Amino acid sequence: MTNRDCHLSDEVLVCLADGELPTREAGEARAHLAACWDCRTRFGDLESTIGAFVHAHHASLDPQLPPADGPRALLRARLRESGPNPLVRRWLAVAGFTVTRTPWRYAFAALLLVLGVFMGDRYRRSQHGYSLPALKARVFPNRALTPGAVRSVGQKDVCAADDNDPAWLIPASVQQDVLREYGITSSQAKDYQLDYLIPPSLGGTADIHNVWPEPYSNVGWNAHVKDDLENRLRQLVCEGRVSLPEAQRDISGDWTNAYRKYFHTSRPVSAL
Amino acid sequence: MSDSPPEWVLDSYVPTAAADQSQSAGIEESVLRLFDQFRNRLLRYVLALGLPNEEGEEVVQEVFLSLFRHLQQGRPAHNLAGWLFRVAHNLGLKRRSANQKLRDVIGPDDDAVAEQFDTGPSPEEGIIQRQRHERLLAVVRALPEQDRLCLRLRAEGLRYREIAQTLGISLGSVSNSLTRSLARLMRADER
Repeated sequence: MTNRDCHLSDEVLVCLADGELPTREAGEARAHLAACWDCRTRFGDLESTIGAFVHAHHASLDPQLPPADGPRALLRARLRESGPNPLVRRWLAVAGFTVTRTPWRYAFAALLLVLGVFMGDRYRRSQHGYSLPALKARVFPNRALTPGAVRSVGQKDVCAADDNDPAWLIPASVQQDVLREYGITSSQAKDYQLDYLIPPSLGGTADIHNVWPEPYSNVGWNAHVKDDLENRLRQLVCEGRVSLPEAQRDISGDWTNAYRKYFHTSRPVSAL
Repeated sequence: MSDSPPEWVLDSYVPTAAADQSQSAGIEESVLRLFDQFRNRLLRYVLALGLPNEEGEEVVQEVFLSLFRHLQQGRPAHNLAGWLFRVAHNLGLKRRSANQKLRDVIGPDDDAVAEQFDTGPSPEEGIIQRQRHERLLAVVRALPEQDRLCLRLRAEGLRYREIAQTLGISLGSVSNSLTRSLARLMRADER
């Protein structure tokens, strides 16, 4: 434990500092430190060097760490995408069916899945009474009326802007013009949220060509999902991983495709 | 996000093959809690392996997806700190090796190693602290890779047993490596 001069060895000092010595040896080492100035000085120097290294380690790497919110949302989406459908698993369990490596059992499980998806789709349609074209009409703006409009700003302007800038509110006059253009009466207006196609956080303007009425009744692909996409795109733009023009192009096209692309999921996270 | 050493693991929550819907959601929440706890530490470690930010982030995502599958299959949920770093280490080295092969073909990337420093509270103190940091990091860069990795893993809060498991070396080797590296750092620090 001690070297030839009856001092603690470097290894014992390091293990003591790291709490890796067995209890009895740690007690002996501490008793030695209490009596030996030489070893206590070396121990103090060791602790100081460890502290300096940890600071250097963090200072050299922490500025490179991007905020965790975006990656966390992405992980959540991926987890939900990769996890088994608990409902299907429960059906199988209820039927006393355990999926094994037997091929015909895989085939039976696949058949159950197909039937489940088909029946689920029929059920959803019967509940909400909409077809695929009708769904598209709800999820996307009318391209002729709302092609999107942007300010002439660059990545730095967008990233330096305040998220809660009051200038980003849609003026009442523009709101009325948009509702009129889409043929929505004042009594129906409460069922819609007026949303930017390209959000101001990505350089969009409060222009009539960039605002559209999004129904609150949307199932799955709704305004909240689009908000998530807007936040993620802004993060990617500010990190220099996606160019601002590309982000504007993606969100003003089929924004659900953009969501799938940037969240690596086929369905909205909130709907999973 | 807390960087404190991991005290809680999923010992009290070991999913079985018969896990139901709430358990599945429980695994997801547990993985996200571990993400909150370990993301920065793992990302720092894989960045220190020499991966660029984007790839480091992708490796960390893969680590937690692997953890999700690991827990779903009802595999052991003890010592998850060691498990996470072991998977991150393996995936990070694999990615780095692929990058190296690519660099051999297209040439070196001058931006690959860029260390940034945050200066201290006052200009003078900041300069002295930065010089000390630079001196120590220069020593770390000159260490053999195994010593460097031991030191980085210890700085991220892993115990010797966990470092040994992550790097696939003996407990004695970890102890020797850290003693050797810290002796060099102390000599550089005295100058």
